[in-house]
Amino acid sequence: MKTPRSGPATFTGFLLIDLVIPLSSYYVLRALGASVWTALLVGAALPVLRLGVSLVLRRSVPGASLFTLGLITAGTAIGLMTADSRLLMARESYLTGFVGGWILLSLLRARPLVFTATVGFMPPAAAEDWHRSWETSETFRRAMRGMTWGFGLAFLIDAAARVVMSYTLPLDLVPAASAALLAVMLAVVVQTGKAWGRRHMRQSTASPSRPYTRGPWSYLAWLVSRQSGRVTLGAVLGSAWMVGLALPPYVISRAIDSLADGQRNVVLGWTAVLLLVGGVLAGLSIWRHRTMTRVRMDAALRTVSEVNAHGIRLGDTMTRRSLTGEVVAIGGGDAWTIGRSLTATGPGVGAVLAYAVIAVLLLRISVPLAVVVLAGVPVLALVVGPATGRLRTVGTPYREQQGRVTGRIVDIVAGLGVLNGLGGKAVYADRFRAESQRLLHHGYRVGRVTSVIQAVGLGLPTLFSAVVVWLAARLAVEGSITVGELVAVAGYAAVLAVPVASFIEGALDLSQALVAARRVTDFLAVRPESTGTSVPRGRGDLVDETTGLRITPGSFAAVATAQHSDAVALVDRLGGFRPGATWAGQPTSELDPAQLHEQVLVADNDAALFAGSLAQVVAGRLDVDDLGAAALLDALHTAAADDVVRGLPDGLGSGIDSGGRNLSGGQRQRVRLARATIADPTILLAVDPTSALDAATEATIIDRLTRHRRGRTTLVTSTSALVLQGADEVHLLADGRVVASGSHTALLANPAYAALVHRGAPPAGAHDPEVPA
Amino acid sequence: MSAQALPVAESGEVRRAAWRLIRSDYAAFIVVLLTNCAAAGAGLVAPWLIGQIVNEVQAGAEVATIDRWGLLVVLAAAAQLLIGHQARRLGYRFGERTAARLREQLADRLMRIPARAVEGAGAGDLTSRATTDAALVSFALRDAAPEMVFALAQALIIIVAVVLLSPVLGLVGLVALVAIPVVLRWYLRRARSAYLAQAAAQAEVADVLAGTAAGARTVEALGLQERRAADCSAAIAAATAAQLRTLRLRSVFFPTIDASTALAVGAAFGVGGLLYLDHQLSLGTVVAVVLYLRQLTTPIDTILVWVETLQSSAASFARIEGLASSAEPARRSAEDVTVVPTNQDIVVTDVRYAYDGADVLHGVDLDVRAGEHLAVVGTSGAGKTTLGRLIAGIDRPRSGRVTVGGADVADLGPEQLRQHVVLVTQEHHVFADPLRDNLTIAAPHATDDELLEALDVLGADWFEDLPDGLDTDLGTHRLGGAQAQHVALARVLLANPHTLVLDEATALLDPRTARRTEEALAATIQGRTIIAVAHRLQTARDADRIAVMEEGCITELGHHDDLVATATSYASLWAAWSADTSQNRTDDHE
Repeated sequence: MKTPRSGPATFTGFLLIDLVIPLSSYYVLRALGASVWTALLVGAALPVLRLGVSLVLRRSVPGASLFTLGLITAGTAIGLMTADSRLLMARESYLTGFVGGWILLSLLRARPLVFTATVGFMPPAAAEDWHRSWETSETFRRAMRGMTWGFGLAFLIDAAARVVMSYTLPLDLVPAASAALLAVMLAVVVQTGKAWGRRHMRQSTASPSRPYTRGPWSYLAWLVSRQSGRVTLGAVLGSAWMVGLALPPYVISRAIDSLADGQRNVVLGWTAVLLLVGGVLAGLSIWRHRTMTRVRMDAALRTVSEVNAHGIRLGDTMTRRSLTGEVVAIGGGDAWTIGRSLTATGPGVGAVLAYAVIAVLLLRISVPLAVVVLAGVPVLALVVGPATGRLRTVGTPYREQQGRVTGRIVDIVAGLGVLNGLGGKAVYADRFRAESQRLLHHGYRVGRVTSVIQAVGLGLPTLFSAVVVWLAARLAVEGSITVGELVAVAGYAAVLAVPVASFIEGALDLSQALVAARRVTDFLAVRPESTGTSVPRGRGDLVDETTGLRITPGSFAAVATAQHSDAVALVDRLGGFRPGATWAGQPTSELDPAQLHEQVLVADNDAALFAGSLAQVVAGRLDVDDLGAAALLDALHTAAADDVVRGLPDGLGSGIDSGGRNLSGGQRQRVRLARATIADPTILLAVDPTSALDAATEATIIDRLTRHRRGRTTLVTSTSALVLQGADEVHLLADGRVVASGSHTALLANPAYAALVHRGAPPAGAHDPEVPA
Repeated sequence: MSAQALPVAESGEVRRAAWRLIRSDYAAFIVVLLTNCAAAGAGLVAPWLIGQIVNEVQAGAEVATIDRWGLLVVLAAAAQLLIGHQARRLGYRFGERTAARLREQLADRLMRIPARAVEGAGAGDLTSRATTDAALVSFALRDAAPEMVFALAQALIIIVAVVLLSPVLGLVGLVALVAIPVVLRWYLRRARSAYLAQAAAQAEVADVLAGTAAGARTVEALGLQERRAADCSAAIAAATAAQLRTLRLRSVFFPTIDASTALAVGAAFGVGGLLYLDHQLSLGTVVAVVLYLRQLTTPIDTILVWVETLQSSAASFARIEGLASSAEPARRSAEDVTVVPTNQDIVVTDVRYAYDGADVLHGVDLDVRAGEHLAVVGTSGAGKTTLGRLIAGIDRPRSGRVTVGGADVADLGPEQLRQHVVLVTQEHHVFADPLRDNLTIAAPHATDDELLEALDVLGADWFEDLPDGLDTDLGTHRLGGAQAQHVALARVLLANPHTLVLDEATALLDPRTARRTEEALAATIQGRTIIAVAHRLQTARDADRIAVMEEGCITELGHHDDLVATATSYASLWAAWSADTSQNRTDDHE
């Protein structure tokens, strides 16, 4: 069997020629007054022609084409056999019945039809995979056969439903209902198969998909490809629903016409149809909404997940490159903007289809009226649409002023302490009122424009409908259209606004999503800066070349400096975040970051605390259950944080807010320290770990920490005498160099050192002559 | 120390407050209602006219007659456009005005909320009420309320029109729609919590992402990659669940609404059709009723779109109104104050104070003489900071008195208070305003020279680098921590109080900045009474007297040497500290 060149193109061609063109030619011919007969024959002719061409050019009978030929000849033959238009309507039943039978019969062959047909639409490489799977996997073969059974039965059931429909529904409703049934059935069959295939491929190749980051379009395409089944279903449902919106006016017009004819017996029938159509539309509407909500959600949350994962990969690179704002913006709104844009895939397709269907319906009533409506509505939309866009422009100064008012009130809340203690409330109250009044005037201006735009946006279409009604009324009184059709025309004009508006809205959504997706792809394209790959050798001196600092294994060292930033830079180098330091002779920045940080732990003074239970926060990368409560409490004890456990309602199980917001500054610092000690690294580098603590607590912590770290290497930076006196060796850093080293007591002889560690002595006021000494 | 949660207004109070807002702009409100009804009414003439046209066509009317009706249809549409514009414009104006009144009232209340309610947990709550809640209510007033009024007027007039055209069909239609209020009640009762949960879950997702972004370095340093990924997955799963829950609500709500309106149309057609065939109704009436009922979906959809917003904005409104009960009555202005301090002595008499229930101060007595330097020491939680705040008049004691020169400090308005006692802490807010405005808060009539002198005394050399001097906008030109501290201290100098309460103004600064700030502080405290809350003992050593606090009481009071000489808890604290600094002290004395 020859495989077609590319799957998707063939598939689209198949749908277009075998489904879309035959159906639309049927409607157009009917609208122009041709008989049901001619319409059906012409509709069937195209697929036959296509098959003929394919036979001649390719000199082969591809499975798919043979299958189509079978469908069409069987259907046409049945159509030719009888003149009953009801039977002709039921034609497709025989077709789907034929398909069902064909599929079930294929089970007798070596490979069932679901397999051969799907492979036929696949790119060659993927098809290879399938053939291999068929030969090697029993699960694969069983599933293929099971699905073939399922599809065959589905087609047979469809056939049965269609026969019932053809003989029970009003004649004019049958083609539309039948088309909808076929579309939904095909979509379900094809997508179920694709989804199943994908799941199987994932299992067999197990390669997770990375997002396409070539550009915003490719990123959106990737998001669609992650859930193509759902997106397709959404598009089908969205189209069906929008096309369905044209049904009520149609049914109402037909019902009114039969009323006008005085047919008592059909009143109840039309009532039932009205109710049925209303019910089906309500169902379609919510099904569409549910599908699209899931589409949006999947896209938005998948984006968040990818960005989070990439942020984790980037690590310190993110902090260094100041990408935090970008990521916050993505989480704050961009992800949802992107999600919303995928909704456009439904209404976008649906809008075009709905427009076409309404066009056909209008053409059947009156060609001049149809021309007026079909041309008028898009023109209106183009007039009103940009006006809506103008709302955004007009709103800009308003939103800016809104931002100022909000900023002002946040400023006041934050400064209430100052205002309470020192005064100035009246001034700030006046200032706020002035800003508020400015916002009010901007608001009036926006209101003026908005009210015009909204009045025009709603009013122009109404005015247009009124003109259409007037025209239709003249046609009705002349007798060229019926009373029911008069009512229908007004209804169509109103309904047509929905697809046109949603098309414009979809375009707007998409343009915003492209901006948001650009931000996402730009972020995902950032590569980590730390590229080290060497494996750390382990034991050896930790040496910083810039300052000349050397730390021997197993010692508890301290660095004292007046410049906090020098201490931070030093630890950055030692911890491998920046070049300039070596460990056992290897430059730390060239070591594999993950392996390095497992052994050399940098405990920043302002390290992030993530939300979770206290136990999880302290455990860090370790597993809470593996550690056990005793180890956790022990680490908290080392950090003199026993009171934190006691002070929280559920002890270790209590929740800690993101950033440790529900802890005091001192508690946060001790929890950070506990987290660093429990990791038990070979080397611990802690920046000012006691800066927010009182003297007694500092003394306790240093006492416990030196005991806990005995035998391993520790470096703390501090200017507190209590901390420094606990260290084996203290290094004084001045102007970026180690200028003195030794024990705390020995260094106190150094005036610079003494001045540094004994700062904060009594305020100078105490020495004031007026105050008794 | 956690502040009590701020209250939320009861529903009765919310109704009264809403009514007050409407009443203060009563005439405008009525006009808005009337124009909206008129606009809705104009929009509903068309179906009736179409019904008339159907009747005329059936009666075989002339084209001229039809033209008259057709012209009327067009005129009605034009009228709808014009009146609709006015209705909306007036609605927006009313909404904007009311929103402005609401936020100005909110700002007034913020100024009158006692200091302790603002601090701790209260500050975030207060900010979110002043911003998020206020924005939501403004949005509701500006956008939701006008749309809602228009839609309600439309729905009401449609129902009235149907009933007038044919009471029987009207009744049929209304019965068919009976499911709507039922399902609406069902939905609203669940929607609020479900949507709040959804918003919270989405905020959590954003929070996790922001956490990863801000803490990326920590993630790398501590190897938290897996935990972070797991946290993200958990947040996403929670967000998915929360969204699916609201989706389930909508899955009941929307189809019921859609089906109900379809039922109304179908039933009206059925009954109307039979009545027409029995010659009890004209075909035109049936057509008009069916078209009206179909048109009813427009206002119903609008109402449904906004009802959720209105519901949640009502909750926000309740939170804003809740501040009314927190706000103290307006403090007396300087002129009204009857008690005027007669000297500079601070007297604390049997003071008790509680944050949440239990007292943290248990009957504190203290006299501070003018010009004295008093240090307050003790372990965390002993009540040092609380005592400092009471002396500075920030909080009011639960019982007992804190007086300056015989007047209760808590009764003094800021303008009075700042001439006597000012609290200096490490928190120093700089307003997003020009530097001059930031300084004149404390001294409205100070000249530029006085302002510059205050900065100069503090050694604020950075002033030279400001682009516009005193006019530099500190909202765009952000000051660093030490500079902000200078601004705060300059305010103190300008206020020129005789007593300063210092609560660790420099504890969290790095050494070099701290030293500079301490020098600046030294300039501000010359010749004043000093009450210094000390976390580090160095601060206490040279004070005239030291007050040692333990569990809300002053347990020891005296000079450093006296306290060290006796077996006090201060002596043992001092011993721990001096063990490693004794050498340094000898150096000092040499």
